[in-house]
Amino acid sequence: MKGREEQSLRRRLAGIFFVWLAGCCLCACSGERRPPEDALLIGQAAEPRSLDPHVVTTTNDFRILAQMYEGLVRFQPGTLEVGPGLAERWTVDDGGRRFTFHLREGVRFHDGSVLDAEAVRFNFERLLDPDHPQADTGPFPMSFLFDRIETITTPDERTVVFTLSEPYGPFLSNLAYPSGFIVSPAAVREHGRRFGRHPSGTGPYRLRNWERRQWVELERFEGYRGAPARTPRVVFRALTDENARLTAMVAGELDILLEVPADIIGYFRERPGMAVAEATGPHLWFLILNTREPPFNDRRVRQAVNYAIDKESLVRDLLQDTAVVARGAFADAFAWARDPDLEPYPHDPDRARKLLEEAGAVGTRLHLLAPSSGSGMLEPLPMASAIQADLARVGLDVRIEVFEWNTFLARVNAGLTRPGEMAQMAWMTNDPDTLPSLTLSSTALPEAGGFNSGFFENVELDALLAAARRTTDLDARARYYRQADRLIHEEAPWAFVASWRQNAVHRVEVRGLQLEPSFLFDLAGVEKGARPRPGVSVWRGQLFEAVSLLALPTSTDLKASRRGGGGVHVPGADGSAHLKASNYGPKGAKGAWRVHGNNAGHLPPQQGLPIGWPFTQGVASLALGYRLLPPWGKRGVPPPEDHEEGRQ
Amino acid sequence: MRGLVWERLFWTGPVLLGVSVLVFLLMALIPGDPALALLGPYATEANLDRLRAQMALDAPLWTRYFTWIGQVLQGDFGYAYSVDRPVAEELWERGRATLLLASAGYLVCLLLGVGAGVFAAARQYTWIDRSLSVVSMVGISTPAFWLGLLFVMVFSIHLQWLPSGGIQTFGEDPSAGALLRHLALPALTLGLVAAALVARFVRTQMLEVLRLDFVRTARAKGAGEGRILWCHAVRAGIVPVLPVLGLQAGYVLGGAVYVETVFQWPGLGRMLVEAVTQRDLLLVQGGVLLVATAYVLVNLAADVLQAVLDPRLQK
Repeated sequence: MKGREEQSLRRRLAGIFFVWLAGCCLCACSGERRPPEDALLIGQAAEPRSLDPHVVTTTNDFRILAQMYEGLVRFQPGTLEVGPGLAERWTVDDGGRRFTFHLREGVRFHDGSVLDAEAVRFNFERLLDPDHPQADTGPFPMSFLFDRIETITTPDERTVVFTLSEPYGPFLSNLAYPSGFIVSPAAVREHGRRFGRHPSGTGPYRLRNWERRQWVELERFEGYRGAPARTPRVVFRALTDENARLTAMVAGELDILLEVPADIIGYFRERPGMAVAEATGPHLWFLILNTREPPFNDRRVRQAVNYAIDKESLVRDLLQDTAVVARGAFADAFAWARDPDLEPYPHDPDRARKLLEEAGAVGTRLHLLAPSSGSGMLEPLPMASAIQADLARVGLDVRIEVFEWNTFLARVNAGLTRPGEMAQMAWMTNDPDTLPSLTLSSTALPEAGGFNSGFFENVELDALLAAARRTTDLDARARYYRQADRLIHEEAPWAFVASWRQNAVHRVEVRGLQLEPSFLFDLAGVEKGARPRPGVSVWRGQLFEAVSLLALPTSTDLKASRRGGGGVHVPGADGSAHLKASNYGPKGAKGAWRVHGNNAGHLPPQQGLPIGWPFTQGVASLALGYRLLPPWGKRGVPPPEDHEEGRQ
Repeated sequence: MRGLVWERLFWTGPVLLGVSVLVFLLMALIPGDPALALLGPYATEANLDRLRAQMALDAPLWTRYFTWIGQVLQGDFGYAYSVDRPVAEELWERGRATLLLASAGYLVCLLLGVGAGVFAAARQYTWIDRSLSVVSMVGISTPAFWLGLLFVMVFSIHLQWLPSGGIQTFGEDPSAGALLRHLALPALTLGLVAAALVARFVRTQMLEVLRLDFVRTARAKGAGEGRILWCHAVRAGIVPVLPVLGLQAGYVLGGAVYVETVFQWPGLGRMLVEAVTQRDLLLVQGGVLLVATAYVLVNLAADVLQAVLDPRLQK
């Protein structure tokens, strides 16, 4: 009997030992892991498809490329006006058909080769000439930006002359866009199709390492022509899941997090140690209206829709100020081109109803096409529901139809065919000409391969756009665009809704981060200070915060379901009462955040490892080991049903 | 025995061929143009046509299928435009990551599931049994992604013990220890949810076995309780559970999608989701084929193992 007890004790001790060992392993795994001080870690939504600036199309990829490459000209900081880049000066003659660029001296690519006029010519010939030896390194989706180039000549090593088929005002802005960045011909020839993995430009950073599915690491290019970058290394981490991005930021694994969604930005605004940077970009979110069929062939109905949508409330309550109200077809970022006196359509349901009555369109059935998500589309479904409710209030019956993004694009780009059809759309452009030329001019109808999906045709607008395009004088162009701005506003071919503000959350020790209206940024001037020493936080008091953050992913769904697919919404006396439901309206949301904001505030934000921790852990494992791992003793196997009998 | 293996292997071929037809047709049926998905919203008709020709999308459906399956049989899976590299390279890399995660998750599932099941059966109706039952019921009804988020909250954000995701941390040298740290949370998440179901099956089986005569005989011969339980009873009790274990292996492979998304694990599941949204036909087809092959093979292994452990099935 005694032997058995001894054995049992031994096993108990073994149990305790193993639990303790497991605890130790976990602790050994822990400890502090923070990003290296000399590297800036940036979290974004996707891995770049390629690092060849002529191949990619998304802002996500452009942001990395803007650190590695430069164009002949560049957007000046804080504006969308063009200044010198790789070309130190340029002249325009022949009535805006001939552009002569004089390149800077002594500029080298990351691979050591020299930037000369031949290199520039190589870049544009690869883009435009299907018979170019390196044309198979494409496809080059944005090559249409340069398709007016007729000939490129190089009178000397540092001079490039572009002759265009017609005078073309937006040419300079297009050159400043990432699609106009200059790549190293030597590297393209060497790597061919794989150039996108072995990039070489002239920018302040060059590629050091691309860890697939993990990150793209750039390092300072010591041979850069200008002031060297302040931070030695920059790392773009690809985190495709929204929650994963947010947790990585909260866990201190990132220094900068880009494009934080509307429903969560408030959390970061109030979190200690974090700051939010914002910039309004050349983005426009609007509804395309099918102007070919009734009721939208009547201008009054189109204006009524603009009056009926409560844009202020959408932007403030639903998008949490991550966007601003759009005034017209030209985004505010194009300050030099848009009409400064133009005001957005006010929210005026009475006027909308009156216009609809005049047009005899009250009670018309409308179809609103929306994507489930998509590049630059903000919060497509909650916004669709909000618009549906606003239009219902003036007597329009809207049915929402939801598509997956690619299906949506194919469907909408082919043109809106049914009467009363509307489609959400968002564009981000680099020149005031691009959006109206591609989407509102009568030469851009879907039949002709353009994006004028609402079939809007206006001779006067066509003439204004053409005149502006043929001019290279900025003031003259601005005069045409202002007229066009007023005309489009009056004709209302779309419902103008919002312009997105690019945002980035960053840790306060990151200094000098400035987001540009081009939706890009320049990291060369950004510095990273020492981070306050983090450690293991005490979780009493923060548990509530954890639970709140966990609940966040559902808040968008909550919005959607609250706003309802039409039937759920109960119109209030105030036009926007439905947006102020306490669960997610500004008051409710802020109140909720303040609770855990304060909660975190009571405790020191970051606290070192408590001294009592190993002791606590020891006691806990002893208790746990004793309780959970009793010996395989006499109680080890339950007696069979007849066992009791047998014993007797 | 050998006959069984050959027969099952023989049927693997037609199953995979069927899968290939199905996935090819599904990808052809879902709306959305791969060329448009690749070129983005700025695509012009000329560029689209050029790319469609380059990707051979303008050929009739059956020609495309036979070209593809013919190349696959020769080991050429084609080129994945959405990630700008050959499909085989991408599959190899992502497949390895998923294999690592799934095996670690499966190990957790086996150890915890079988362990907890046997343990609960050995202590039927005690508080241990009851609490294990409650825990496993909670486990069965917990979605993996939610559990994953919970783990991240506790272990990454609040305790800061383990990284919140990825397979590597920037600035850290790759090492076995670092890999294990990154593997810990996703594998635990994946394994725990799968273990819950296994535990319930094992417990039921063990309760039956422990009442059988041979256990009483062993006890009468004076064998220790530990020996009876782990050497005699478990071997008999585990055989009927093997098909469930095979199915759970499939679950671990399939369930990896959610876990990979939550933890940003660069595996096959996430690759497939991204490839479908990008309409990268060849990548989706190759990926599904690979997963289907793995699934068929794992279940074959479960059947063979059952035959090995249960002499009655060997005839």
